[in-house]
Amino acid sequence: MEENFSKTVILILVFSLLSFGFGFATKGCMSNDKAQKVIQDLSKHVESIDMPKDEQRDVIDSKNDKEVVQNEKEAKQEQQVEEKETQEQNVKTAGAGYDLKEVKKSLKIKFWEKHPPSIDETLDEYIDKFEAKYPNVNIERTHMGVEDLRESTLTGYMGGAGPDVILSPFDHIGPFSEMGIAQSIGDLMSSEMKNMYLDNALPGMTLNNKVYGVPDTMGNHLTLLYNKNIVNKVPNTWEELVSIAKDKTEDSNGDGTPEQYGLVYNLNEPFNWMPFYTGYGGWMFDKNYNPTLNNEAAKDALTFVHDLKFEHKIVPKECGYSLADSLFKQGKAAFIINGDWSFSSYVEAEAVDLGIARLPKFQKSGEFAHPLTSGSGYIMISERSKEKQIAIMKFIKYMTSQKTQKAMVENHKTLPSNKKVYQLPVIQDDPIMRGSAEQLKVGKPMPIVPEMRAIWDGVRPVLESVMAGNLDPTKAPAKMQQNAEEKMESIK
Amino acid sequence: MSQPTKADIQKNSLLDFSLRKFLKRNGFSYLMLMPAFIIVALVIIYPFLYNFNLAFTNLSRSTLIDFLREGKLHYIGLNNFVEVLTQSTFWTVLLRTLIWTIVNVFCHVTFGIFFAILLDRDMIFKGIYRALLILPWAIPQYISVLVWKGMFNYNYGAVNILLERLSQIFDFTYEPIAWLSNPTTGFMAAIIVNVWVGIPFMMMIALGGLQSIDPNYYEAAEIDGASGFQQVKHITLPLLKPVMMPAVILGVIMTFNNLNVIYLLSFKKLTEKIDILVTYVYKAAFGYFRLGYAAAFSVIIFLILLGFSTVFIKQNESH
Amino acid sequence: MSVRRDGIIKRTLIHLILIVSAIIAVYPALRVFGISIRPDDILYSTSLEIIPDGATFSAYMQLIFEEPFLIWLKNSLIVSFFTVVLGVTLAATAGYAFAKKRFPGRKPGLIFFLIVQMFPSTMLLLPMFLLLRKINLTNSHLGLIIAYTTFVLPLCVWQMRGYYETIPDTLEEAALVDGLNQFQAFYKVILPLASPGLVITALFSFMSSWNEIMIAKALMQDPDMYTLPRGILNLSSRFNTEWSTFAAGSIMIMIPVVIMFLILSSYLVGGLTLGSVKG
Repeated sequence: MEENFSKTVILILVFSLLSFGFGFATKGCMSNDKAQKVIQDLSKHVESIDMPKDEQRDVIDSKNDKEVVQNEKEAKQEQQVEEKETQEQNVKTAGAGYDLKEVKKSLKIKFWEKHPPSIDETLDEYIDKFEAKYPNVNIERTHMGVEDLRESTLTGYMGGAGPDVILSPFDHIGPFSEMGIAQSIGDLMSSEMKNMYLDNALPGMTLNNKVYGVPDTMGNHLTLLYNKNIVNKVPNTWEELVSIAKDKTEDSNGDGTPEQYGLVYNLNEPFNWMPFYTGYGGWMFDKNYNPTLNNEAAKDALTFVHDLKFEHKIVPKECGYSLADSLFKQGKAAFIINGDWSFSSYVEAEAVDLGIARLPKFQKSGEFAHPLTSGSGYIMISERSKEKQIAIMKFIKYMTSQKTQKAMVENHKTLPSNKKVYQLPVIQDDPIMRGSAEQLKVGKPMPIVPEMRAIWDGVRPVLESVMAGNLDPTKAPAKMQQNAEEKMESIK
Repeated sequence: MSQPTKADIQKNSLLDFSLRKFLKRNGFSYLMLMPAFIIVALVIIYPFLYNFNLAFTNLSRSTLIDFLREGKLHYIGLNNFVEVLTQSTFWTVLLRTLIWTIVNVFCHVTFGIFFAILLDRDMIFKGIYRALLILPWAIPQYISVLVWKGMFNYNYGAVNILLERLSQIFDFTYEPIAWLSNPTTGFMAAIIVNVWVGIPFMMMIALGGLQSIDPNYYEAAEIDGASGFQQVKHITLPLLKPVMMPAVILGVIMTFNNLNVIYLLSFKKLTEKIDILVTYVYKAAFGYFRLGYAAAFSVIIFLILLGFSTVFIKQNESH
Repeated sequence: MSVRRDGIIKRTLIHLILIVSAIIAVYPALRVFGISIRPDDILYSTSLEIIPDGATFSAYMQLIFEEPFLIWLKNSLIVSFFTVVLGVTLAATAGYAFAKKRFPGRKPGLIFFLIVQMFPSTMLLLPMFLLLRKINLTNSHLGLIIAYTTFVLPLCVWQMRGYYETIPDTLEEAALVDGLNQFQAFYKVILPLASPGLVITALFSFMSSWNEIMIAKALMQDPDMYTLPRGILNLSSRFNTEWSTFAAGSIMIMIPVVIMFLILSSYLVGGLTLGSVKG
């Protein structure tokens, strides 16, 4: 082992020295993306997809032999859709239509985003295509984590070297518009561009009647995922799920730590608790955006998640995101609650045969657990020069065009904002995409107001305590309410 | 320098005479000193004063735009200070910070001197031991703390695994500890990590101090029949004291203000439950953008430290 | 050094304690290394092993070739190098003045440098950022160098002062008698004698700037200007941490400092305390 160690050390040193020599010439690309948030009702457009009825919950086998036939079908459909598109383009449009103007100067656009690493390649591919189409625009992409993106955009804006356009969750619009960082772009878009999207997409990034962003992916919703190698029955109610999961939680060597769990998910994350809360009929705000967390629904929801761990023992004792993800990927968990950003990595995982279903109903309320839905979109930073604005609008339009979005769906299983893509087989025939859209149907749009921050921060410490067994779930809602109210005060 | 005329001397005598001589005597010193002083003054003093200024304003998310665009600040007097001091959380957090600092520094110094004494003898591998024991200081905290965080994981962390193996070997009952779910055990975990981080510094200072102790003292004591422990108690410790004093002050300051350990360990696990003063301020400033409030808070932290150091130095100057 | 001869039981016990302590000191670093060579981003396993099955260096490959690691490395090297140069120069001169010369403002000056270390970093980050923004030094190497030098100076000044105090005044007096002026006496006679102290100051400056992350995060928004710590921070984004790449990056960051520490550890032991004794 020592030999290995010193060999590595030498290797690393040599590499570092060599790399330093090349360092000056190199300019790398970066990629990493993350999923995003909230939209308002998608029901209308999601229904337009040809979907199987609710009762039919048998999941269809993934496309394998159908691929050849599918490709032909797809190509034809695409052609049809494209023809329609060129027709529309020829229609003269009124309005500022920056996306239709020409880019005259040579420009560099700084683009920051938070997508997972896997989406990088696709993003880069299409960035390259955009740059080929408009040679005098150079896009520099940087990845950062969600929190980091928010903080760094702010400091960047203040410092003058921040990004020009970012791809971020919907809810960043709240603070950004308030601080004057986000550019209102509704009047910069041509009506042609506005028509590209689902009816409820743009409103999802609108605050005070101003459009602050252009949605790219819809969803960011949690779903119930399961490993068909372990379990094949999809539960209709949570109570059913619990009993299936109990059966699948196995501790064969009796050491107190199960080798396989019935259910895994990020226990302490408020975002993951929300579906339970909404499933019992709860909502976090009243119509004046005051927190409403101290009620029966909260009590039920907290007791339920508390029991998952302490009573039914189907979840690991301390379970964060990476543990849940890790266990599921290794085939050591039957069910996982996770969001659309994780689908593609599970499809690729060898130990997993991925099935997707709606989060079940609660017997007491008869309602589905409603995950909060949002999405991610492009936000232009304010105070850019006119030329830059033109280039950015064109960039946004290109990245949300049908071709780009189709590739994103294919590679990453995210639901697009471009409405034409929904008619393509890439969504219609893929069971993962269908399942995802099904779940989206019963999701509830997440509010993007800045007050939402107070809710998250108010719930978090209490949820942590409940899941640690330090706080009685029936006493917790009052504490959550109190926390949230305090935070509301402090974020003013 | 030409000879000054009588008139010159009379005219400039007091002023020029002492100034020139003054400069001649001390000019060199000031010249040597100036560059360092200027940089520190500008880059630290100016922000300090600026921060002090901010403490009297209500700069927060809602007023941030005005400030960024036009530099407008709205003054609210001592409100921020009053708010800080009347919050019950302030006093809880202060108490926790005091416990944190005292326990940590005590462990740092004790273990540091302990290891130094162990190493202060002819032995094989001495260099290797010393080099390895210094390592925690060389590793950036944001890396080592994250690794420790993983090691405290309930199911898969090295700490619990080790404890379990030990319980099998030594045959005692063992319940896995959920380190980072409980504030008490979380705080203990944070202290363990911070002690791990801080021992090397004290150990090295103690080692240096030990080197300067005249071996004759020990020989004399040995002749007089003093045991090992007595020698340590009566020779080593008292002679180490002047060496450790500045180190203790520095250690107290660094521990009191150490953001990394608590922040990284409690992130998303023990949110707000084991905060010390600096982490609380950091969250207020960069999480909620309550900049005026955070500025006032920082000033209070500084005053606390200043008060402590003054008292501490005065007390030890008399020795 | 004490001259006692220890019995064999005592010696064995001491070695035992030291071995266990050394393992505890080193284990986290080894664990980082283990994560960096683990395949497939799998973080959790119930073994205490360092080298996992299927160990691979692919994370390092990915780090060096796919991430802008080289850019980060370049930035870190530039910033650290100049911080060291500036820090050592300024500390050497200022420390000398404090040690050997008596002048008005000497004591307050020393106390000033001590007090300055007490400011919590949170207090200074934002105003420093605004200040540098005004003079257009955010997102530049110079801005970061100035910030780092400032934070490193107080301790270094105290450090050098202590070192100088161990050099007898007679040497300097002799030099002056020989016709050298003050500066030459400093430069040619005293400075070479204080070189171990300079080495420590250099090491400390290097370590502080190479490992620093908070200020780098606040000051550098332009990804082309990221230093190493700032760069690998991006790899540890919230939900999906690329653990093996992050660990690989961590190892790369750790190596220079650790190597320097190991080589210079004997210097460190002597140097840190000198002057404290004389207080």
